[in-house]
Amino acid sequence: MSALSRLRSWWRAQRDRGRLDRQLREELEFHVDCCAEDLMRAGLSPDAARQRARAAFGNMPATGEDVRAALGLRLGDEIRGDLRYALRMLRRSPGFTMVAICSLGLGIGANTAIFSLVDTVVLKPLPVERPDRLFFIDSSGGRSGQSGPPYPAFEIMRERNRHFSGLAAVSASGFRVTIDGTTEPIRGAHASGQFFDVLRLTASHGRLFTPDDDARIGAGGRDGAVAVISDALWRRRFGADLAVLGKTIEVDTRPVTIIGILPPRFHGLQAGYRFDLILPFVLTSNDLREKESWWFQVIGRLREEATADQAQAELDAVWQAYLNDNRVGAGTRKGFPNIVLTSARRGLNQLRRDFAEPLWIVMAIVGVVLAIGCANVANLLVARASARDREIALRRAIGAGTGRLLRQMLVEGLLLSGLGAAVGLGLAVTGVQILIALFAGAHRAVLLEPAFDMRLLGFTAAVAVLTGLLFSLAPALHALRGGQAALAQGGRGSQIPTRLHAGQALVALQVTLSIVLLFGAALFVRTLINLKSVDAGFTAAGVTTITVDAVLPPAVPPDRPDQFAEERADIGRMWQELADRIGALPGVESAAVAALTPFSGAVRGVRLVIVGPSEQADSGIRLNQVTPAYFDAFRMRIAKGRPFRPEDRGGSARVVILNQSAARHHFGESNPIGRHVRLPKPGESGDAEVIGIVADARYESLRVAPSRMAYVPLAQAFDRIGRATIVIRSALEMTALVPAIRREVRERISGGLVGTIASVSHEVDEALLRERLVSLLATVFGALALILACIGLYGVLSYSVVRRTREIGIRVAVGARPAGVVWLVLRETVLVVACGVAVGVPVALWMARFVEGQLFAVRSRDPLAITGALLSLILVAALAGLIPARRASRIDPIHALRCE
Amino acid sequence: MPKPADLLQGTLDMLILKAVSLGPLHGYGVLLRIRQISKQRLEIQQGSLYPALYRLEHQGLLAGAWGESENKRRARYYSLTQAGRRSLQEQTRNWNRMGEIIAGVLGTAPDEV
Repeated sequence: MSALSRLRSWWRAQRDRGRLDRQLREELEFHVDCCAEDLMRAGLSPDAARQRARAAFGNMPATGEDVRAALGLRLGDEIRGDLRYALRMLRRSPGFTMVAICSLGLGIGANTAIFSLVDTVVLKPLPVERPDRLFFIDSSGGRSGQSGPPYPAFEIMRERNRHFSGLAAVSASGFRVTIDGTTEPIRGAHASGQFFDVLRLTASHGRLFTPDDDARIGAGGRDGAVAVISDALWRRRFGADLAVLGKTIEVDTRPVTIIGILPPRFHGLQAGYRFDLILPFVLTSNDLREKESWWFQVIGRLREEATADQAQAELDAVWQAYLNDNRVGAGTRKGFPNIVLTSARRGLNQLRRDFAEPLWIVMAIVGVVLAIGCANVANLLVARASARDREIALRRAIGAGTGRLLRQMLVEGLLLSGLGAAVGLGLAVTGVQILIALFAGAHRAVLLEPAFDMRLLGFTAAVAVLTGLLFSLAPALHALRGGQAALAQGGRGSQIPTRLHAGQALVALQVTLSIVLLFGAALFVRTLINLKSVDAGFTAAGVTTITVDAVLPPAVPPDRPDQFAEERADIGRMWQELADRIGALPGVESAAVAALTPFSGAVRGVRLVIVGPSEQADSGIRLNQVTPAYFDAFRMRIAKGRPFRPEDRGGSARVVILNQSAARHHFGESNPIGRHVRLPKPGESGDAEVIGIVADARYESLRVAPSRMAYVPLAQAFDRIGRATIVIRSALEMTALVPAIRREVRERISGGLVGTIASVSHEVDEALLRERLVSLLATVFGALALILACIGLYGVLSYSVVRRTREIGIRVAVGARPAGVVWLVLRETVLVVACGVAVGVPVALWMARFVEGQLFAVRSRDPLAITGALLSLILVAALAGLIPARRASRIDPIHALRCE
Repeated sequence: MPKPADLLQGTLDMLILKAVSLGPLHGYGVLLRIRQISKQRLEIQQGSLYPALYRLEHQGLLAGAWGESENKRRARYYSLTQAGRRSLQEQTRNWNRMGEIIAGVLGTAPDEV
C-alpha cells in the first residue's frame, strides 16, 4: 500500500491536530443527526430520537481515540502527554532540575568541546571528493608515512605511473607577501600542477593553476608566476573583491599574479595550518634538481579500477631503479628503502601525530566526567522515584502497563538529557574558543577552525540519548522492582529500604572514577613540573633569535672542490661581521650567528670520523655551525678546553667542539682535548682538532635526551650557509633593538631579509603546549569530577538523614550523644568512600599504563601522585559528609517523632 | 480487546470498500448501504465505522471530500481510489477462494478421505 499517502496523511494530522478533531466531530454530529432523523421518521419524538441515536453510536470520545490510533497518532499523543507530565514534574522540583541539568550540561559540554577538537584534528577527512582514493607516496618505507621522494624521482613517477589519475608534489611554506606596499607573513604551500586535479578542486572564482603554469623551474608557465588564494584570505585581505583576479602581489620579492580563489570549504591538507596562498611548485626556492633531498610530500589519486597494492608495486620499481641509477649510498638507502602508499584521506599528519594521543586521553577523561554526572542524576532520580512510589503504584493500579511506565521514565530522562545537551552546547561554544586560544597562543600558532556542524550536533545528540537512557535505567529498575508494595504501606515507607544501597553503590562508583581522574591529573601535573625543571643545557630567558636569509653568490662549480673552503670562509666572514656589529649595539650583552638554534625545529645530521688507528665513524651525530659568542649568548657551559675564538678563521687550523655526550661516546673517560676528528666532504682535507667540550643542550625537545653534537666555527663552516639565526642576549625589549638589527642586516648581508623573531623561552614554553594542555585539562576535569562525586555523596547522605529522622530522633531521645549521631552518618560516608577507594586505586594504577607514553620522569605507579589523589578526595568527601552529619546531630527528638 | 476483532476488521474494511465502490457515500450512508445490500442481515458497530473509514483513507484506498448531503448539510463523502478498487478486487478474489476452500473442507464426507 502507498507508504507515501500514509506519510502524507500522518504528517497532515501532525501538523494540524485541530483540523482532524474538528472534522471528526462534524462528521460524527452529522452521523448522529442523520440517524436521529431516520428514527423520527420512524415515529419517535425528536428528543427520544436524538437520545437513541447517541446511544446507538456508543462512546464518541473513544471513537476519536480509535481514529487517532488508526492513523498512527496514538504514540505521538501519548508521548506528548508524557512530555507535558515530565515538564510539570521538573518544574515542581526546581532544585533537582537545576542540579541535574547543570551536571549533565557540564558533562555533555565538555564532551562536545573535546570531541570538536578530536574531530578537527584526528577524525575529519579532507573536504574533497572521494578522499579515500587519495594516497601519500612515502619513500621512507612507511616509517614517516609521508616523505615524498626527491623531485627528480617524483618527475619520473609522474610520467610513468599508470594507476594514478594524477600525482602532485606539495610542500607547506611560509611566505612574506607584499600587497599594495604592506608586507605581511602569509601561510601557504607550493604545489605542483596536478594538485588541484588530484584533489578535484575547482575555483570558486577565476581558475586554479594547471601543469602548464608549473612548467619552467624558477619561472612558472605561459602566464609567468601565478598564485591561487584561499577564500579566507580573499575575504580578509581583499574584501571579497573580484578585482583581485589578475592583481600582482609580491611573494618573497617575486611578482606573482593571482589567478583564482579556492572554494571556501578547502583549508589545506592539515588541521591548524591553512593554505592561504598556493604557488606552483617550480617557484620554490629549494633546488628541484637535487637528487637526494627529501623535503616535500607527494599526494596522488588512485584510479577507480586500480588497487593500492598495484600502484605501490609500480612506483617501488621506479624507486629502486632511481636509487640504482643515481648510485645512492647505503646509508641513505637504509632510510628510504622502498615506496609505501599511505592513506591521505585525512591529509597531513603533523598535528595528528603530536596531538592524537593527548586528545584521546582528554576525551576519555571527559567521558568519565560525564559518567560521574550521569551517576549523580541517576541517584537523584532514584531518590525521587522512591518519593513517587505511591504515584507509580497508583498508576499501575488503574491499569498502566509496565511498558507505559517505562516510557514515562524514559521520556523524563531524555527530556533531562536534552535540556542538559542544550546547556552543554552553549558551554561547548565557549569552551572550544578557550581550547583554540590554548593552541593559538604561540607565534607558531595552530589555527584550528572546528565547525559546529551536523557531525558535532549528531555527536552531542547521540551522547544526550545515551546518557538519558543510562540514567533512566536506575529509576526504571527501581520502579519495576518496588512500586506495588508502596501503596499497601500507605505510601510512607519509613524503613531504610534496599534501594539506598543502589544510591551508595552509585556514589562508590563515582568515588572510583574520581580517583582514576585525580590520579591521572596528578601524573600529568608531575610530568609538566618535571619537564619544566629539566636542565635544557642553556639559559633561554633573555635570549632572542632572529632568522635571516641571505642571497649567496653563485656556487663554486662542482669541479673546483679546492675553492669550496674559501667560498664558505667568505660566507662565514659575512655572518661573523654581522654578529660583531650586532654585538656592539648598546644594550646587547652578547650576539652570535648560528646555523641552527635549540627549539627551532631544524636539525643537521653529519658523518664524523674519529682520527686514529680504528677510524671510527659516527653517523648519528648532529652538527651546528656557530660564531664564537654562541656559547656565551646561550650560557652553555664549556666543561673543558676553550670556546671558539675570533682567530679560528677560514685559513687557520681547523677546530671543533664536542658536546659532553659526543665526548663520552667516543672517548670515554679519556681526555678528548687535542684529539682529531674529520667531517668528510669532497675537496676537504685536514682534520679538525677537538679544542673544547661543551655541556649537553637539548635542541629538539625537553623530553628527548640530548643528541651527540659537534660544533664548528661558522668561519670554517661545513655548509654554504644562506639562512642563519642571530642569537641575541639582551635585557632590552626587542622592539627597541629590532630597527637597528634590521639596518645591520641590510648593510652587512647581501639580499638580507629578516624573518621570524622569537623569544627562546617562549619557544621552549611552546614546546610544552601538549603537556600544558593535557595537565591543565586533566586537572580541571579531575576537580570537576571530584565536585560532582561529592555532590552525589552529599545528596545521598542528606537523603538518608531525612529518611532516618525518626530513627535518629528515637536514638537521641534514649540518650544518644550528638557525636554518636554524627558518627552514625559519617560511618556511611566512610563505608562508601572506602569501597570506592578499594576499587579505584587498583583501577587507577592499571589505567595509568595507557598514558605512560605521555609521562615524563614519573612512573605510572607514582606513590606521590596516588597519595595526592587520595588526600584531596578524602578531604572533599569529609566535607561533603560532615554537613548532613551535623544536621542529623541537631535533630530535635520531639519534632522528629511528631512528624510521623 | 477480544481477539476476533482482527477477523471482523478485515471483513469490515472489505464491506466498506464494496459499499463505496457503488458510489460515493458519507459515513452514515456507508452504514445504510451495507445494511441495505446485506438485506438487513449485517449490522455494523457504529463506533468501529469511523476508525475504519479513517484508516482506509490513511492507506490511500478511500478519498474523502466535503460535499452536500440530501438534506442540504455539509457532509464528508468517501469515494474509492484506484488503489482502493484494486484492493477490493483482490480482497474479493481472496475471499471467494477462501470461501470455496472452507466450504470444500467443511463439506467433505467421511468416505471421501
